Amino acid sequence: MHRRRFLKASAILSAGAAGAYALPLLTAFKSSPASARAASTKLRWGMVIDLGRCPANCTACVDACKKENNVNTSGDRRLDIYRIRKVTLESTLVAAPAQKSVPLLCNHCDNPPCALACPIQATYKREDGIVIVDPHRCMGCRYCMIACPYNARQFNFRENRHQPNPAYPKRQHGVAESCDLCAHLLDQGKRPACVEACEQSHANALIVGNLNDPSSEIATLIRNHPVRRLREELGTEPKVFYLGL
Amino acid sequence: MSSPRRAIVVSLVLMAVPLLYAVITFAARPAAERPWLEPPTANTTCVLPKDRMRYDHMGYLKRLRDRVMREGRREQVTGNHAQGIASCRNCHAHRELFCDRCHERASVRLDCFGCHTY
Repeated sequence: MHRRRFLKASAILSAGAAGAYALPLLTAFKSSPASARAASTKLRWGMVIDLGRCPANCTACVDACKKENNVNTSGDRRLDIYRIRKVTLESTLVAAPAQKSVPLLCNHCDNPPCALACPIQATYKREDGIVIVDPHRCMGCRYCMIACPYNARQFNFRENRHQPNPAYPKRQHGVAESCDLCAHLLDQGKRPACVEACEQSHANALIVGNLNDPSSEIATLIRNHPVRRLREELGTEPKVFYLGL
Repeated sequence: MSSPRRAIVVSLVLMAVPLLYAVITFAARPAAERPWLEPPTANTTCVLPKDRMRYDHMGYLKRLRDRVMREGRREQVTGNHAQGIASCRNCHAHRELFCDRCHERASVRLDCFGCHTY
């Protein structure tokens, strides 16, 4: 009789303890963003790049991004970080030779291989679709760099010497970095630095918007024009659409 | 008591003597004095009360970091009443006279300011 009573008491106690531990878990899954611009599933950030409007010699987006995000730029191409970079694509068709200057950046895939590869979830997809690196947690294993099919991620081999934007932190040596669509600006209702610079140079080739909103400029562009994404066959579901690729 | 048992007891007691000596002299040491910290320059209140801040400033910063980076809620680090790590300097102007004093005494390495300007 004593054994049965003991077993009953320990079962009740352990059930109570499990309940006490489970309660924080239950409340943790309820998310309540305090501001409308916080990462919520109502927003799904995407970008459209109109290659017809992108001039070949212009690097306004690249320069603006470097300044805004305190990106490591020293002139040494082995060490420099390019959150956005311009690449010249050449068509190999003999009958229709063409050269296009294409801005390449992180595509913020809906199925991001970098977030899958990160062993500690230092890079992850936020609820609003932005793929972002948490530089506090990143340990510099660079699995994400191997995983990205677009070569969009780079590694900080050196701490940035300069800080052109004092309102934004810089990165230390040992952290992987990639474009985060200027999440710190988007969260406050502003636009990414590259988009602003493109507009100021009167090219208007970069457009960022909410893909979930059917009336937004970016959604109408995608609906009405033939857009392509990079390496769609890989199944990463990138959210940067190119017009005229 | 048999002879082996007595020998074991005596040797245990002898081994405990230096241990007790160390414990008692350690406990009898005076408590370490807190280093002098630069007082805050403004008259406003801090994010948390002083004792809670002393205990929990790292926990507060970690929770704030996750709120800002993972959830995108930046209302605490923007605007006039910003409470992020870069806004501590509005009241605590010099980190050498404030943060570094306790951190060097306790030998806890500060990693924050390699990226965040103070």
